[in-house]
Amino acid sequence: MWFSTGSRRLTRVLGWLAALGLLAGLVLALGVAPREVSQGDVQRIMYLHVPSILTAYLAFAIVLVASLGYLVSRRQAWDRWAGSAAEIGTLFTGLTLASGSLWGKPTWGTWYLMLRGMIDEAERRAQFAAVLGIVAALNIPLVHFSVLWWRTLHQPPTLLRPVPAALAGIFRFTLGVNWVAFTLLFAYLLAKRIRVGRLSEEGLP
Amino acid sequence: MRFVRRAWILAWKDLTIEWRAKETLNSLFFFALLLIFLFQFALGPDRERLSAALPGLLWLGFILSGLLGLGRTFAGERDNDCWDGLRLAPGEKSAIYVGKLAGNLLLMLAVEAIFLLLFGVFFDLDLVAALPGLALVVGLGTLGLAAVGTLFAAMTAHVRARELLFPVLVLPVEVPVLLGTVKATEAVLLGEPLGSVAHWLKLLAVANVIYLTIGVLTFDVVLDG
Amino acid sequence: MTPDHPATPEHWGFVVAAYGLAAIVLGGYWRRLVRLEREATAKHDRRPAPPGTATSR
Repeated sequence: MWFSTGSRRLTRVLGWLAALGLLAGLVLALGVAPREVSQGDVQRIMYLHVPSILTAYLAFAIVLVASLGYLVSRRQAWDRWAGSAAEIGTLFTGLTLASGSLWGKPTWGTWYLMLRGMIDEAERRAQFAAVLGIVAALNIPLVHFSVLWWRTLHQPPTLLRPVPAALAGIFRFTLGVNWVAFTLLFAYLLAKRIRVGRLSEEGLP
Repeated sequence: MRFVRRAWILAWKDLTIEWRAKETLNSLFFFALLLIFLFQFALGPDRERLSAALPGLLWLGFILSGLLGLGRTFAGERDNDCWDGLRLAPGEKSAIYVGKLAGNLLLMLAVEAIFLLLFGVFFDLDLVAALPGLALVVGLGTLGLAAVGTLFAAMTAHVRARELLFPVLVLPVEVPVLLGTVKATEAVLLGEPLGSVAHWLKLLAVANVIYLTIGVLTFDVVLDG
Repeated sequence: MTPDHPATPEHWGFVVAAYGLAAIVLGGYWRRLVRLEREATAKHDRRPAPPGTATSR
């Protein structure tokens, strides 16, 4: 089949690139980048946190597009994209749990996947998941701003604050490398997850 | 015009049933009463602590009673085997959404008015001065709650463990609505001008527009499923 | 003090914990995907392929 040769090789290349990128990002984040003056070494968590949350945003953007695509075309492939991207997006939001307390956000994906798990019939599952995916994805900016405003009255959201322009080049470079590495990892995992879904025919659980 | 008529007929049907049986209204009234007693026992006689927690408690009550009512949006159709009748009704399916939403909204606002009255009596609140601002905030928040709740109620109507799944699906979506309404209610009860919470009100308005648009556009998918 | 607001700058423990946890979570998910892929491929290949298509190995 068409995906078994060309795209499998591409997936493998993606996997190696992601592994290399992650390694480089790790060395930069823990070794090369200097200690940040005001926050100390704990600031190094940002190199993990910010790429994770950006990757999660990317994942839920894909959920939105794929959900719309499914409702318009009713092709099962769109549903597989939406379900796979949501699963991996949830994984990446989960990573930010360890590095920052952005409550409310780790729930995005979990309840989407919960609904999927509760409907057995493939077509109905795809329809409802598409509606839920659209609601969840469009809700993300609202959640983001409301949590930000709500928190700023108590404490400045340090880790979420955009990187100041004055930040030295090495910080931005480290962040950039990690971001690219996480995006590559996401693409690799997504390709693999979609392939698993396609092979197991019944669609995603 | 026919769209509005269709929606109105459905809302009228639901409200008439509710008016005759008073099934939801009665239980929600006693639920509200019990909640207020519980709040009083839990917080004790300390006035200061009470007034600090009041906006949160108020919305906790609105949400708990709202979720109970919203979860039953399609209970009548489901229990009496009228689901297919609803699906086969002529015209646009989104009229059904708007009708159900209007019915839910009126019911929730009625319960919330009772709730507010009880709150004012039990916690000695001056509601009259805050009423215009409070009406705006409660209206915006209730619409946000009902818009998502009505859509998700249709979605979970035929899913197993729907009583559990429904609140679990609705509550995470409502995080921005809850934060906004609690903050705005706090400001209104403290007598601050609405301008000081204008950003929250805008957020609520945007959220409502998004939820309503999604509801109207996707309801035929949900109903067919 | 929350982890993102250290009183002192000596917080390597948090850094190592965060990166370690991320490595475990991502690695675990990757291994699960590889296992699922292997199982699904095996099941897929056991079925007779429809005419005109190559097998996926």
